[in-house]
Amino acid sequence: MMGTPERELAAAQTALAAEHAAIYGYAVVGAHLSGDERARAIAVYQAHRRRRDELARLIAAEKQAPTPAAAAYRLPFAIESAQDARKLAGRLEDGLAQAYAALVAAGGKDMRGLGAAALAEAAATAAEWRGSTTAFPGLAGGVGAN
Amino acid sequence: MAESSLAGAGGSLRHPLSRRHVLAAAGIVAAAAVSGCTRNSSDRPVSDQPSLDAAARDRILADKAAILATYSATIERHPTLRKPLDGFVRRHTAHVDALKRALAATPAGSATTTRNPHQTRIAPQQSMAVRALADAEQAATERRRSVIESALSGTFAALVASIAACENAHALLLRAEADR
Repeated sequence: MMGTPERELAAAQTALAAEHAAIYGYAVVGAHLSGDERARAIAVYQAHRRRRDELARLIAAEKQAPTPAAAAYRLPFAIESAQDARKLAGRLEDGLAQAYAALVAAGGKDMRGLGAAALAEAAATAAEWRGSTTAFPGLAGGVGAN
Repeated sequence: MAESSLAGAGGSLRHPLSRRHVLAAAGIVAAAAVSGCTRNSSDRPVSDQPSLDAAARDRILADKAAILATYSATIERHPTLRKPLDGFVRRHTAHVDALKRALAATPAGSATTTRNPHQTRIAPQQSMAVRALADAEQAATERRRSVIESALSGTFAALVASIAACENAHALLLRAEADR
């Protein structure tokens, strides 16, 4: 993360906060799924932990304190079924996609690479949970039609 | 940042959070990023930006024309795919529209493809044809990487990254469709 301008670092912190939230959320998602879907939720949870650690390392390398996780997060709606869990998982990936699109916009070459890869992963994972995608993952308002 | 950071919905917070985080979770930061901010705007001559990024945009537009031609040829060969592929075609068309609007100072040239759809070989087996589209989407995602990393405009880089992310999701959905 060379030369790290302030904007890039702020965007990285925002992405880290989104990963913290996703990790919390996926624990809830996994608890409401079974079989292959539960295994998939656990794999995604672990992938988000790796991404969190990677971001925290990059931020620490810039002598900044990585944004810590919150003690607790309030869920956006009650999770009572597998369907709710899939819906929450899609929303978590949407939040990550937005944070990573912002990181691409603010980042230098290396951070853009990381942001673009994470954005692509979030879009594919959201599509997996929903069975559909939008035209502009991570761009709120959709830059026109979705 | 409780509710907002979890799922992008507004709501009361149990954990104090900076305004930036709340905005980011709501997607507003991302929206602002694509609507105005430009990386290197202060340290690059403005004149570099249109030519380099516009050239990249025009290459992506030509690529998109080829992808859309492959979709057309696939639907022509397998008419029952028209409905399942409709959303994919519409999203690619939306990308073309957004790319044409991007970098408004340098209008896009008319994107043409050298690949004639009728020269594109479409597998006679439907599932193979869909899998070929999945492979084309995956390859497209990978071709975007260098543009994203080298674009002078951060706004443009984010647009291309979003398009690449959609193509990546397309590849996954098309593989699922092929396995159906």
